Amino acid sequence: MGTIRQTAEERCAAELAALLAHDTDPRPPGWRLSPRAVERFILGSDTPVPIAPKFVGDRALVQVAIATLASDRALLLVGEPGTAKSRLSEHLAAAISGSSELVVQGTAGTTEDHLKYSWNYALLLAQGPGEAALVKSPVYRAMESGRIVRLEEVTRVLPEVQDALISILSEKCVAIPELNRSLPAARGFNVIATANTRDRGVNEMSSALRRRFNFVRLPVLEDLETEMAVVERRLGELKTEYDVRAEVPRDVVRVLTTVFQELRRGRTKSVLSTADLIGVLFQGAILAGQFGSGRVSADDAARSLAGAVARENPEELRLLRDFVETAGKAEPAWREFREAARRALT
Amino acid sequence: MNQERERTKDRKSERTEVPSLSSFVLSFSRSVVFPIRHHSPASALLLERTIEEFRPRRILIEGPSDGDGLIPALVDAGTVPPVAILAWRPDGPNAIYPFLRCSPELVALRAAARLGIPARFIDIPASVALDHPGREAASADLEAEICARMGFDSYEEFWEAAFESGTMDLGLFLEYARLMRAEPGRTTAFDRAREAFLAREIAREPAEGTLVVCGAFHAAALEDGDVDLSLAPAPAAPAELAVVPYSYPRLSEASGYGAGNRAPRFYERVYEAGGDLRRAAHGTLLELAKRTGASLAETIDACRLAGTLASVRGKPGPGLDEVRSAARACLLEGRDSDAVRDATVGLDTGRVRISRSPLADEFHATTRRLGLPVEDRAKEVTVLDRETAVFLHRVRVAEVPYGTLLQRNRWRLRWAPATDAAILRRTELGATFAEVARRYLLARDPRSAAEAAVLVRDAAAADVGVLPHAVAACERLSREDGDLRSLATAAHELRDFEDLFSRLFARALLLAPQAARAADAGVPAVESAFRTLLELGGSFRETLRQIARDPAANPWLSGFALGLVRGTDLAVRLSAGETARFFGGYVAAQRSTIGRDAAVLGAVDRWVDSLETPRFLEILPLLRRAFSGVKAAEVLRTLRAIPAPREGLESEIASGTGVADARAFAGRFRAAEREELARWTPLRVASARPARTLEELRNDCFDPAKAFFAVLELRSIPEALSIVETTADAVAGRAFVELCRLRPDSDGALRRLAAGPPPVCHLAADALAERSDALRLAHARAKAARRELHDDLVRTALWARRASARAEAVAALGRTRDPLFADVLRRAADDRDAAVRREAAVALASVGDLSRLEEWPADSRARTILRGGAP
Repeated sequence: MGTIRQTAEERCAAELAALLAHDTDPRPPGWRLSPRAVERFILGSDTPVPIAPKFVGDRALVQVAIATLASDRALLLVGEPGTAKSRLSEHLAAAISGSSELVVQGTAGTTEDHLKYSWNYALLLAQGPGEAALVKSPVYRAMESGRIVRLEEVTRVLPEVQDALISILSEKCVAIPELNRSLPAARGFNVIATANTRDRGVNEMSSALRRRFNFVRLPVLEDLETEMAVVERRLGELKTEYDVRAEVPRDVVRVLTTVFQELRRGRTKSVLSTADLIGVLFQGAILAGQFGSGRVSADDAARSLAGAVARENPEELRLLRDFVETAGKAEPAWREFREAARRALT
Repeated sequence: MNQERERTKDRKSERTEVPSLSSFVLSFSRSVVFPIRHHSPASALLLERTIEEFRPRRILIEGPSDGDGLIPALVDAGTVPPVAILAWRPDGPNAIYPFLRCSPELVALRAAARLGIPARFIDIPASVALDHPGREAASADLEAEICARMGFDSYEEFWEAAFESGTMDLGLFLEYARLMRAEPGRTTAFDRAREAFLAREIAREPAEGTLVVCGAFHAAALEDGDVDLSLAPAPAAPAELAVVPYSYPRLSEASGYGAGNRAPRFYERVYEAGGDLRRAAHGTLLELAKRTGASLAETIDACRLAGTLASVRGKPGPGLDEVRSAARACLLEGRDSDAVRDATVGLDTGRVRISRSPLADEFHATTRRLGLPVEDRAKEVTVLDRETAVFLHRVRVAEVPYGTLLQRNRWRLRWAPATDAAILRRTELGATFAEVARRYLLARDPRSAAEAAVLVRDAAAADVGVLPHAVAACERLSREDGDLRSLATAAHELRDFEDLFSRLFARALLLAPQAARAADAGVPAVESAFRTLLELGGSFRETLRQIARDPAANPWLSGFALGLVRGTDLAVRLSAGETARFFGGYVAAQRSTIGRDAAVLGAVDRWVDSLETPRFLEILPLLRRAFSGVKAAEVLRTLRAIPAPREGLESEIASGTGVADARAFAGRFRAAEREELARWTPLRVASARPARTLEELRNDCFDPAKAFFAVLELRSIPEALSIVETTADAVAGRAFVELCRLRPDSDGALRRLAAGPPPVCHLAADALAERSDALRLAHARAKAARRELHDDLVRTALWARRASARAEAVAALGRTRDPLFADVLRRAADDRDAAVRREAAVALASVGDLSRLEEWPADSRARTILRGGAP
């Protein structure tokens, strides 16, 4: 419990160990588990031990993702914010390579060094170019050890830096002219990139690079029960991680999930994602745990909801007011929430 | 060709091993039931091999037994699947039995024909099936359970993985069918009747050497002897049957066991590949790559991914779902595309060479010769040659669903199985389309001039010699029909037929004045007739003028007549006491054009001025509606064309203090009244009266006859509001709303009224909505218009390559004097070219920012401005 957030492989160590012990199917070279065991790890299973699902959604999508990683194409997960792209990529890497820590966060400041290698300049000046002075990027280390490397938000990286990926993906090799050698990728190496459809679009990727990826589009959860299940499970994990003991009643989850789904469907096509919803509820849980009754009330939920909505689009506050005035009139949970929302939203 | 077939056969026999077959088909000493799944390539391949290997003496096939006569057409080399047996009764229901290239029934028929084995159908006759409406969807619990337990997303996917790849295990298949039958509610009475019929037909043949090809569901019953022969259905009245072309898209839309197939083209490929799913998948992906323009490398990756996916899913080979997933991920960037459907479902329609209908032959031969599309999707064509036009018209007149006439020579063509079905039904009416079209036209019995006119047009277009008959009918009806709209429509239809046209038009002119005396219910018909007739001939104008003056005419219609000719003699109806309806008709006739004709406006203006108060109140809503369509831009333009008003007059009037000046305002702004007329008129009428004291006005307010203008004249909103609220009188309320319309500061008062009782609350709400909408709209529109107009300028100013162009654009932006462009100009003031920078500094000054002028002390314009002159 030393760190705030454990990695996927730490959190799911027992499940991974059990899957490994019972995995009899053939494994692609460099993989720690067979594709079927990976699928079971991601989608959940009853055998060999109960395994919690890490991703809720179309089974076929997950299978395409796994099959892609076993081929020599790289995987690009595309979706709206909060469709669990990063979560899926983290767990895929944990299951396939046993570690999800090789990751490059794509930003406008990402340079080619982050994708290949750079130098420890003190050593470089003192001893000249040599293995000791080489600073390896996560991609380099993944190629060296035959593991999966994750590239988060690849479309935020400048196009000329993205281009460095092309040679890595097609030749599976990094040349190091300073040392007069090159690094061929070990078997098991592959790349999972994620891209956000809301920010700068996928179109920003050059077609040469796009051709090296298989695309998997993750849909927004549209079913109320499914989204509620996801929210409740993630909330449980967060509460354990941060040691928050407040209770989140099912009614509150249902009301807020409905509100979020309505906002997404509505005129403003809200960008509020499942991740935002979890954030709102978790904040409510902290409020209730630290300052309240230890049970998330309609007031806690409404207050954190108002904050989240106002941040995205103030116009939505008005819509939200209209919506809570008209929706689900009869049920007591709604009545309570409506009154709380009136107080929080004015 | 034969060699080719031999080779295919060799390849097939290598791939399709028959381990279960020998145990299944022990010998042909008794009849053997071969269970199939409809449209299944694995079934088809195994059946084909069984027939070739064991050479049965006869083959009995589950298919409509009254369709035996169609077998030669089905096996003919010129018949290209998908085709279907169509069964119908004239003007009754129809039934469709589709066949794909990989339908086991068709494969069996073709193998039998090749090997000289007699084959026939043994299912209940189509005539009997026609009397049984479609079987209800069977419960799908078993399928759902199988999918869930085996980890498949759909039953079709399970089927493909379990039975389509490798060799089909017939024993397992039958067991599975037994499981289905055991499910309660699965076997219907109709199923039992069919099975009885099948069993009886089988019993009629010697058992030895008989191969029965039958859907597994029924095969299980036959195998197990689970049949009650007494249930066989009684014969029914005979039906017509024919082989017709069918289409892939329709096959995939059809649902239910055996009726459809989710990807006909894909499964035909599987059949063509001898059951090798991998080859079918690769073929499909290659076709897709061609359609989407993907590279070979990507296609190879897609093929690999399909294979890997299949092994991840524990399937023996990549099936339809793997192909779709792989295509989406590798070739389509994760998106869905119609190309996938086109490559798996297929687009083609089948062909039938031998048909029993000369009409069908004519249709297909003619469409091919004329190059007309026969596809199961709509296509628009322009027809310029006479032969094609005549043919399409004949088909249309014969009521065969194929071509829809959109305009004069523009057609939308779509073939559908219903097309061939309809053609077959027409066969009894004639052997050629000319004949059938003639019969159809002669059968029409026009009851009105309009119907007769359509008949004349169709007769002329189809060119089948019935024109004289049609013209005679039309002439007769042009005398007998007394309905003005029918005559007008007929005249419009026949405007190219001089003789008939003048006959119809003359009679319409004769009838029009009488029609104008119609009761209110008949008004819409007469209105549309008036419009049509005016469009057809200028001589109708005189008739309309007469109607406008006719005191016996319906007031609405005489107003309408006057409006149509843009008449200005509005006073004509003043005495008739039905002013509002007259004016309503007048406005309706001119629609939105009323605000654009100065003569009409002047007439309306004078007329409104002359109206008595009650009349004026009657027409006030109409007035407002009449001018609501006039665009704000137009009002602005007219405003600009008028000499400037006295300084401050506008605000004076807006604040309500200038009632006396309203007349002057209105006078000066006469042209601008297009929109404002309705708004100002009550004031003008009010101001025409001698001024009265406040006390007098208050008293008047309580007199319903005087309240309207008294309230208006009160001017003070609080005062008026208190009176209106005490009297709760509708007339006073209406006047108050009018008053509020003139006063921008009256929102609060309007809101209070809007919360009050009807009908005033509605008026107040309208006024409020008008106000906020108008403001918001005007604001948004003005902003957008400016932006749009100047978008090009902004672009030129910032990014044009020539400096002179940039400078020019900057100057133009400066001339707008619009602070909206200050940011753009500030950027231009840092331009790399000095001339542009200088221009931008001057332009900036004209939008209010003088800061950059100091950089140009030598510039004469800058000096002038800095000294205090205008830019």
